[in-house]
Amino acid sequence: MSADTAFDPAARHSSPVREPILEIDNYGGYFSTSADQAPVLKGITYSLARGAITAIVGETGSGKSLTALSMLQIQPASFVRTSGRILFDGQDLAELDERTLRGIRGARISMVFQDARAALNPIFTVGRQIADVCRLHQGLSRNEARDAAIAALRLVHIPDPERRVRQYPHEFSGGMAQRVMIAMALVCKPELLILDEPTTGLDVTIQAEIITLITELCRESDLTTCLITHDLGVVAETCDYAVVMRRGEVLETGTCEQVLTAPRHEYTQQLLAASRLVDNA
Amino acid sequence: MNANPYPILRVNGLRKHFEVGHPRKRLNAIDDVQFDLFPGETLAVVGESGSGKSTLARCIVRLIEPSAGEIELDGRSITQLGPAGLARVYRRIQLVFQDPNSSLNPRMTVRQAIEEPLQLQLKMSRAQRAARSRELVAMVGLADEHLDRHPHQLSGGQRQRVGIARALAAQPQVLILDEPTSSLDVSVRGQILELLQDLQQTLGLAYLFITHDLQVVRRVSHRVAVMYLGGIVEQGRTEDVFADPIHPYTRALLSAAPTARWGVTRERFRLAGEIPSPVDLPDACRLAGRCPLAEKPCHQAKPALIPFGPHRAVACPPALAQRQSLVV
Repeated sequence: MSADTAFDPAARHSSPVREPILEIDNYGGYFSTSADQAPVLKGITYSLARGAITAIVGETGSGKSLTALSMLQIQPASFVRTSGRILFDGQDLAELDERTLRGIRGARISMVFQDARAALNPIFTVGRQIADVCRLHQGLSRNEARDAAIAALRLVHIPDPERRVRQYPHEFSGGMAQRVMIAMALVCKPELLILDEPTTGLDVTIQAEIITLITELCRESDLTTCLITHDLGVVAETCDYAVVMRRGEVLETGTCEQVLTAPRHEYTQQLLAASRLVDNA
Repeated sequence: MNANPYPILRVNGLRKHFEVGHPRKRLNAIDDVQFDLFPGETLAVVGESGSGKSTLARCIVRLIEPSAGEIELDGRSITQLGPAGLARVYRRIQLVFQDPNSSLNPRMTVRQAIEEPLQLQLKMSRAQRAARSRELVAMVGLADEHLDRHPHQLSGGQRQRVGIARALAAQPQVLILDEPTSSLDVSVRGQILELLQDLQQTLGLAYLFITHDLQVVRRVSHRVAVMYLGGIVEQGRTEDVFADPIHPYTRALLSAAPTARWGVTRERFRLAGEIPSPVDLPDACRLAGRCPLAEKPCHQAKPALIPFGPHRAVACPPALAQRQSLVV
């Protein structure tokens, strides 16, 4: 039996005040395709502290993923922004042109999506897909990029990476495919990693391994991580800060400890009660 | 729980294999499963994807034809029944599916969906059906106005309520619930579980509750069977299994589940690697390649469930040997 080293509450909040790497300020909008054009995001304001793991928690329709997609400016084209800014390194991402954004996506901000096997291209080897990212952003040669891909797979603890780079996505299990996605997201050493429900759909034992991996990678490299999830169990295991959203609004923000032990908003309390079906789990 | 000593559902030696690939190989989806389900109780079947739990649900009601084994409903075998006999069986045993989006017909209103089994199974008249469908929607916490809606006009939780109402239409004694809450938000999950528990109380239903959600298991089930690669590896009363899991797989599974509590450190019990492919498995313990307790015999024969006390059975001789040496 081995104790879980990834979870160490004392190690969290080690640095006192952290400056934000990304700030969402009063961000709002609606879908032009909806009949009543009702706002789907209402004055979203939160920030991601540098080097910390921040959880964005909410149920279906809370707007948590839409906000995250906006950080990469890959939200659906029918989304119309009515207010606010998304400041990354002092510049408003919503104002940048496509060319500048391409230089940021995958290089400085990268994202891991929920269903890894759907997010990978089935007709290319995983090595090729990871290598493409390096060749685009870092101008590496074919060989250098392949070595980078092998190193990336090794980083996420995929056994036998030299063989695995030549395999196709269907040859990977769900948990291994999610590791590939994380490897691909980290290969250009981004400053900000966004994980959209990275463990939803995975089995609990696999989920536990992925969570351990994520926390380990973030602690080691001081990477800033934004973890989008509906699962407060995952939040309790990994995060420094938490943002609770419902129906396009931010209801509560705080340190993970404060949100989990002394939730201020009634909805957070309900969500916690619903997540803890039994008293002493 | 229940004083009735006769199981309402008894499954014995159930097997299902599929022939897959070229050349043909054998995939053992269910491998010698046996359990009893008693009236009024909830037996949870818990396992990860690929453990065969959904195949088990479908085999019991013979939506998938089992390869071998015996299924008895209320003392009578249903394994050999033809279509007419099965139709009668479906009045007494019903299935609720995971995803109410795909299990409800999008072109049928709630009323049509609920009245269909009333008409087909109970041959009710129009007036009887109208009265009974109102009764059923009220029973699952919906209003009369929902009867004329289509599935897309309902939320996920409401759709699952319709799925339950439909399953209850012919007043069955056994419900097989295949992941009934896993497509729902957590706040809705609690409401559906509460509904199911209320219905069990008032109607005396027996539930075979298939889930991967350990919190749900603890909340609703009286007994639990843990499945791994097609076989039950541990079975017992829910509080006993959770308080003191014995089988290495159960220990790994329970210690991996997050708690939604701050500062709770869990001792993880880790297995090596991932679930292997269920194709062409050797005659050995299914966990042997990943298990820290594995000994030579584990690689040579598949261990059977061994009773441990009156309510517990565990398919792991090394783990049981450890226990007994501790007791002595």
